[in-house]
Amino acid sequence: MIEIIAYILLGIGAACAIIGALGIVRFPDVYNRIHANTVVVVGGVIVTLLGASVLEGLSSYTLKILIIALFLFLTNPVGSHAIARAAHKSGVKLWRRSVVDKLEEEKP
Amino acid sequence: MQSEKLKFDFVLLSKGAIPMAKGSLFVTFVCLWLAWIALTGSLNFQELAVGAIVAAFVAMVSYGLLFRGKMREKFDLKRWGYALAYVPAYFWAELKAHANVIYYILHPRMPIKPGIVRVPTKLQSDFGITGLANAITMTPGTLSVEVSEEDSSLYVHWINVKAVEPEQTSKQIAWPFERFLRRIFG
Repeated sequence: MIEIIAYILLGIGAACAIIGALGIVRFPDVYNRIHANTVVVVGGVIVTLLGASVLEGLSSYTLKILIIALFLFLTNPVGSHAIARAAHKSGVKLWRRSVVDKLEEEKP
Repeated sequence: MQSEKLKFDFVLLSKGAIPMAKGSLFVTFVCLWLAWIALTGSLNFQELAVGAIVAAFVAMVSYGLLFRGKMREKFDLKRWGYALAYVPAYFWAELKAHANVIYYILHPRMPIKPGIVRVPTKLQSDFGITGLANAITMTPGTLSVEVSEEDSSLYVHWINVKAVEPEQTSKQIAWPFERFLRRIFG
């Protein structure tokens, strides 16, 4: 039973990683690609790590896996935010079919 | 303004001007040492000794960060209750956002309507705003690009803009997290 849950989590993780990678290729600009990147990190890596920790059971490895997941969880949004903010500050344009850019309008 | 505030905090920390309980250094040390023991997973004397040295050093540097403010507020059970309730709500939001973005990725014509919108927030504390911005960035489909302090709002890149008005964006993007975070951090 435990193994089945673990394999389901690992499968979801692998699927999310592949779909996220596809998204990074398909999406049109930096900001949209960061959304796909978030799918890879949260759905791909963190769910895979959770699956690995379920498979491992209660041991010191589980603790380490969970701490790795926690650190990814804490650092990924900081990195994504920094990339997006730097891109916008350095004048990377939004995709031509974007509907609105309030940041450009209100804080030029 | 931001840098002045940071400097202010740093001066307070370095001079120990914040009134802190005497035991907070010791409590920090014990927490760090227990974490070390749990992570190394052995009770070997050498491991314990090195752990004690490292934990003592880190505790001396950082105990002011852990025990800032009033202790009574830290152990307010209501806040911890809301923090616990936040976990399933957060997972649910995360799940929905993933399904949404995966749908956009796999759809042949990619029906996205991206744009940057302003999301006002009523959160006051630094921790609350950081938590909200991080939660928004961690859910695929929304990405905080800029945090503006003077009009207390976030500028969020939204993969499928459904509304531009501040009330609507706040309700749709921030509210699922904000209703917990305002109770946890204020």
